[in-house]
Amino acid sequence: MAKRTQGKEYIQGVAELLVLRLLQDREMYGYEIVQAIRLRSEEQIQFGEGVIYPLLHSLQKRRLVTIRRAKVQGRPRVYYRLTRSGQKKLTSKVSDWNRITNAIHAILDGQISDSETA
Amino acid sequence: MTPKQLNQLVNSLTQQGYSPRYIQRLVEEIEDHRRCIQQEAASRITGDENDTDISRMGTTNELIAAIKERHELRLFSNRYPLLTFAAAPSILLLSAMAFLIWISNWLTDSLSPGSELVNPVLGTMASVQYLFPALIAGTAGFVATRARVSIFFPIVTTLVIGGTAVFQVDMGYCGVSNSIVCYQRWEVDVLKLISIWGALFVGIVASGWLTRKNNQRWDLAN
Repeated sequence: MAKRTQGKEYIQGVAELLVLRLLQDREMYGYEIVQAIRLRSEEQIQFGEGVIYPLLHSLQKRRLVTIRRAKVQGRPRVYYRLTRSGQKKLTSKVSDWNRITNAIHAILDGQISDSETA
Repeated sequence: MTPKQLNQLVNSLTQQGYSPRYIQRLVEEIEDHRRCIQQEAASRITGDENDTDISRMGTTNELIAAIKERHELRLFSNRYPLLTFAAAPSILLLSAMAFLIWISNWLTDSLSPGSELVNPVLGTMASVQYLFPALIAGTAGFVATRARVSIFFPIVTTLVIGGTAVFQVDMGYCGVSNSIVCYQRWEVDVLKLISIWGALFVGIVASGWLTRKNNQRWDLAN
């Protein structure tokens, strides 16, 4: 049976997907993550930058990321790194994302299923 | 996000029961983020660190809404108060009673084989009457977390109620505390008093520990 997605959960899921994907490459801190999303999406994806932190804390609480604390220019900074569970979650989310986008493309491209033609 | 907005954020999250350490960490990260935006602007445009668009951070309400959406960021006892302060002391009390009956049976059987032993199931079921004192301690713990006061609140409250009740029983009259703890029906009996204290103690331990867990700073550091 196909999975159903709720509106808010779907948006949260996309944000999590992006963050997990960025952290797959290397550890990053909040500002870096936001900048990376802005730059890589060519500024198409923008949001109130503060909201990245509840998302990161939630990922940490669910053990999908781990943290390292450091002092930079005399102020505390928290770096986030993907865990093994986070890697698994990312793989699963990428798979879900591909499935959904393929389904949406199929509709947008006007493909007609066998059942409709019968 | 201005210092005024940051204060609003701190006040709002404090009122909603988020732990001070979590709030402190959030503020530190937001402050670091704000400085990064300022430095980015300074290196890019005017050289003036203050000339930048801090509104990129979003509003206080947006941030609070984003935190509230993340249910897992709330402390366990805030999410499940009944489970924490009613079920936990009860389960702990009954488990303690069952364990004590088992130990007592084992000791009795070892010292004088053939003695009549207490049925563990019936003994534990009979212990249900002692849940009431344990729940008093749990209720005090619940009030302590809501009022965000010290762990000593449930301990002192329960000791005062329990101590007064035992004193009233010992003196042979039914006072308010005796009514609360003993429903005015328990007899003056040393074993009963020990049971009352035992149940209160279990409740104190459970609610005190849970209160401390709830009020302590939430350490997100791994």
